[in-house]
Amino acid sequence: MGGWELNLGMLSQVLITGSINCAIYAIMAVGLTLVYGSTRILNFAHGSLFSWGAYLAWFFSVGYFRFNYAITVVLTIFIMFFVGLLFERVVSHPLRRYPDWQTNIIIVTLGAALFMDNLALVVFGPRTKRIPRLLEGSVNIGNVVVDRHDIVIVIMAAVILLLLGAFLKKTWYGMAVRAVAQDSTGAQIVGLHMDRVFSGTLGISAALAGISGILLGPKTLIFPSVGWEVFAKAFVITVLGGLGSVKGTLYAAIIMGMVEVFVTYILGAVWGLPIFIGVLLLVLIVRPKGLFGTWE
Amino acid sequence: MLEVERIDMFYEEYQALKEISLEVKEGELAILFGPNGHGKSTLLKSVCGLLTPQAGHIRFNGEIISGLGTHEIVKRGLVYIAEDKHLFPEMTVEENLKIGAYNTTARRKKDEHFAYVYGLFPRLLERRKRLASTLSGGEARMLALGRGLMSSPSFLAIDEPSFGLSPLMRTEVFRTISEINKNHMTILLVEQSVAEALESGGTLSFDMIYLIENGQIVFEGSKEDLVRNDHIKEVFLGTTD
Repeated sequence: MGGWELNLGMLSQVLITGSINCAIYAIMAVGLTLVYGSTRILNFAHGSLFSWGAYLAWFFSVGYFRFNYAITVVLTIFIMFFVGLLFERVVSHPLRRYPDWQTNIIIVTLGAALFMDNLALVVFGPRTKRIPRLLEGSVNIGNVVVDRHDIVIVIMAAVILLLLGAFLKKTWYGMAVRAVAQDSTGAQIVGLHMDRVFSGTLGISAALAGISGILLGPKTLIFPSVGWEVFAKAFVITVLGGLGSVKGTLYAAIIMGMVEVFVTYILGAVWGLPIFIGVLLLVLIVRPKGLFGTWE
Repeated sequence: MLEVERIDMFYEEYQALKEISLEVKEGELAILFGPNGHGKSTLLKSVCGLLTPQAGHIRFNGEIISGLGTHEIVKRGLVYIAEDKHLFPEMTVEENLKIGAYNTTARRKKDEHFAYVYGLFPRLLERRKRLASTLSGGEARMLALGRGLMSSPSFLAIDEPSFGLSPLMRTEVFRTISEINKNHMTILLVEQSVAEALESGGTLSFDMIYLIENGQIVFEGSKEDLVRNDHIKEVFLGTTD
C-alpha cells in the first residue's frame, strides 16, 4: 500500500506482478471464452476446474505420489482434458435435446461446480494444501527481485497461448472450433461433427483451467473454493473482451491484469475484486458486447 | 437419387409440410417453386438433416437419410447451400472454402476442388485473402456455392441462390448452376419466382418442375407440362401464354 510515489523500483515491481496476473487471467479467460464461443455455454464450473487442477498437482507431486513436476503437469493436464470431454458427453450433450437448454445448462454447470467443490472436500479433506513452486529462488532483474516461479508462469502462459493460437489457425480441428463459434449452422452445413467439436473445446478449456491451477497453486493456499475468485475475474475479462472472442479476451486480460495491480497498489489490496465488479457494470452499461464481441 | 416419401414437418403446432413427395433422378436439375413461407426451405432443411421430419422417409441413393445428422449426410454426398449463406465471417474466402473440404473424402481431393471452384469463380480467386464479411452480395453467394462444392458432393440442394441479386448477376448464377449440372451434379434448386427464373434462366435447362403451395406439392412435371397447363400458368406466371 502506498501513496502516489511511484519510483522506478516500485513501478517495476508493480509491472511484474501485473504481468503474472495478466498471464493467469489470460489462460483462464481464454478457456472460458472458447467454450462460450463454441457451445454458447457459460461454464460456471470453470473455477472448480481451476481448483481441481491445483489439487491434482498437489496429489501427484506431494500429497500421495512424489512425481517430479514434469510428470505432475502432464498427468494433471491429461486428466483435466478428459474431465472436460466427459462433462460434455455425459452432461451437456443429453441436455441439448431439450428446448430450454441454454438456461438449464447454466444451472447445471453451477451444480457441477458445487459438486466438484464438495468432492474435493471429501477426497482431499478440509485442511488447506500447499504445493511447492516449480522453481525455487529468485533472480535480480535490474533492481527488482523476481521469483523464478513467476518467470515460469509468464513464459508458460505465453507459450501455451501461442500454441493455442497456432492450433486454432493452422490445424483442421482448430478451424472447426473457430467455424462453430462463428456460425454454428454454417458449421453443420459443411459437415462438421458438432458434438466432437463441443467435447474437444470443453476438454481444452478444462485443461487450460487446470494449467492455471498448477501455475497459481504454489503462490496461494489450496482449498476447495479457491477457484471462485479467479473465475469471477476471468468472467469479467471475458465479458469485457467480448464473449466468444479470443482476441478480445486477450486484450481484456492484459488490461485488467494491469488495472488490478495499479489499483491495489494505490488504493489497497481490498480493492482487487471490487474493481472487477466495477468494470463489469461499466461494460454492461456502456457496451454490453464488449470490446470485440458480436452480439448473440 | 433423392426420394422424398410423404414427409410431414411440424413447427410446434404448425404443419409446414404435408405428406410431401418428390423425386430427383441422378443427373437431373429439378426446380422447386413456391411463394415464401410455403415450405420450400423447410423441405431442403429436412433433406439435408438440419430438420427431421415427423413422418415419412427421405432416401438418398436408396439409403434412408431422414433422421441422420447433417455431417452424416454431407459424408454421403448431399450438400445444402442455404439461402442465408451462413459463411464464416472472420475467416478468409480461402479458409471458408478450405473448411468446406473438412470431410475425409473431400480433404483428400482438396486441391482438385480448389482448382475447380476457382475456375468457376475467378472472382473468389482474386479475393481469396479477404475476409468473408467484406464480400458483396453476389460474391458471398459464389462463396456459399463454392464452399458447398468443396465438400465433394454428388447432389446439391440450393436454396434461392438468386435472391437479392441484380438481373445480370441472376443470369450469371443460373448459368453457373447449369454448368455445374452438366458436369455430372444432380441439383435440386429452390426458387421463389417462377417467371423470373424462367426468364433470366433462359440457359437453365431443367428436367423437372415442382410447385409447392401451403406445404403441399400442387404440380410436378416437365417444362412442357407446365407450359401446357393453363391453370398453373395463370396462378404462377400471371399469364396464359
